[in-house]
Amino acid sequence: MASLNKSTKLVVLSVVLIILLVFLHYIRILQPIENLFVRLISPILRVTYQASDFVGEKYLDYKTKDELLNENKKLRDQIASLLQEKSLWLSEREENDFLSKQMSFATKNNYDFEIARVIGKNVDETRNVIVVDKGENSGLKAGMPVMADQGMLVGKIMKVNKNDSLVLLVNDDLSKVAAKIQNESRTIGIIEGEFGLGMKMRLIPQTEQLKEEDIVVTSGLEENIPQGLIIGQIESITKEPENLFQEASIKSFVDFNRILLVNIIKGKK
Amino acid sequence: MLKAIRIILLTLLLIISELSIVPKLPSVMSHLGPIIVFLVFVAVVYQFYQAVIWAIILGLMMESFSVFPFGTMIIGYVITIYICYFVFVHLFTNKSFYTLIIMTILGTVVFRTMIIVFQYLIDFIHLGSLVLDGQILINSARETAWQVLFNVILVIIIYTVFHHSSRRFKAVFIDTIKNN
Repeated sequence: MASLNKSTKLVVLSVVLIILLVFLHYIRILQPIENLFVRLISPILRVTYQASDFVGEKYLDYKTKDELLNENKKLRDQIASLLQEKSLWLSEREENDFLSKQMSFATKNNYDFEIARVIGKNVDETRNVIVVDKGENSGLKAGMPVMADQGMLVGKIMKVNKNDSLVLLVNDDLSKVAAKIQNESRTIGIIEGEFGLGMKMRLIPQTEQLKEEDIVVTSGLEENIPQGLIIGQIESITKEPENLFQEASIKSFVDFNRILLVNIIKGKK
Repeated sequence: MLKAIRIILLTLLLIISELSIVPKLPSVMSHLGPIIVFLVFVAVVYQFYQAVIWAIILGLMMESFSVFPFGTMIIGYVITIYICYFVFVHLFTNKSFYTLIIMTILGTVVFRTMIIVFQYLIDFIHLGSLVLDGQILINSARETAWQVLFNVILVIIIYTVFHHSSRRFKAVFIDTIKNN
């Protein structure tokens, strides 16, 4: 009860005090005190406000820097992702171009073909062999010609597994392809690999007239290999009077290290 | 004399922090209300009448920097303290850490609500009609929630500092944190 009375007293006192203060304010008696207080505290408030502002600005600078760094990182990630996308798109476009060229080539020549992707090279690196992702299941057989671009022969199937095959490239020293030069006399010979460094056309009679830059194509004398597939062009001719045959160095139009997709001709439709 | 200097310094510190430090705090932290935290702390930990005196003094000083008509801040602070005290006396049996937190939440909500009501009343007097915009009310509620959060954090910090530095303070509270 005493506590309640005390509280009531306090309430009454504070209400009276507030009314008095408001009254004194409105009759301007409090004004000098208020003005003095504002005058005294204003400089302190100004200094502390400026200090807080400075600290706040520093914090904002730091935060902005942090945000910029984060944004920069995000943009870099975005660029990386876009580059990856672009690379994928380019590779898909390349693949698409290749497929459409092969399709038109095969359709024009009435070939039954199989597109395969290069999935590796031979493991021992002693042979110039590539591994492709199609095999017996796709109807491939040893000896079938493999092309890298429209009619550009790059090798022959050497070994066939269920789902992959080994392709012996024409520049391997084990490779032998019956060929002919597209000159007036349709000179025939054998293209042999030169340990992965290039190709030589051998068994060309001395009497044949050859020219550099003549195109060399398959002769069609081999089983499974149709005639007219481009092998390369003559780079240089070696003609020794004492030899029975002359030789020609052949330069391929294909970079054997950059073959990604191949077209394997399975035969005529 | 020393006590008087201490009171003046404390008053200045509260006014300065409320007017020039807190508003420059980053983002939502600028909703912190050190004066209301202080008043509730005094009302709960020390004497109720002391809190009323502080409310009148601080309210009077804040009036000079307030956009409201003279008396609004004093009335706001004093009524807040009275409501907190009323709830404290009728609903709580003793002083504890949790009481202090609940009183801080209550004090913050009551004071903010009163300020919003005053604002609407002044607008009503000036415009002659009451404009109740949903978005403004949602924003006010959001700001109140932030203020409650930061005020509670502040009171926890003050409590922890006092708890570890004053034996008298420990004696006032029942220890609700100690493990048995």
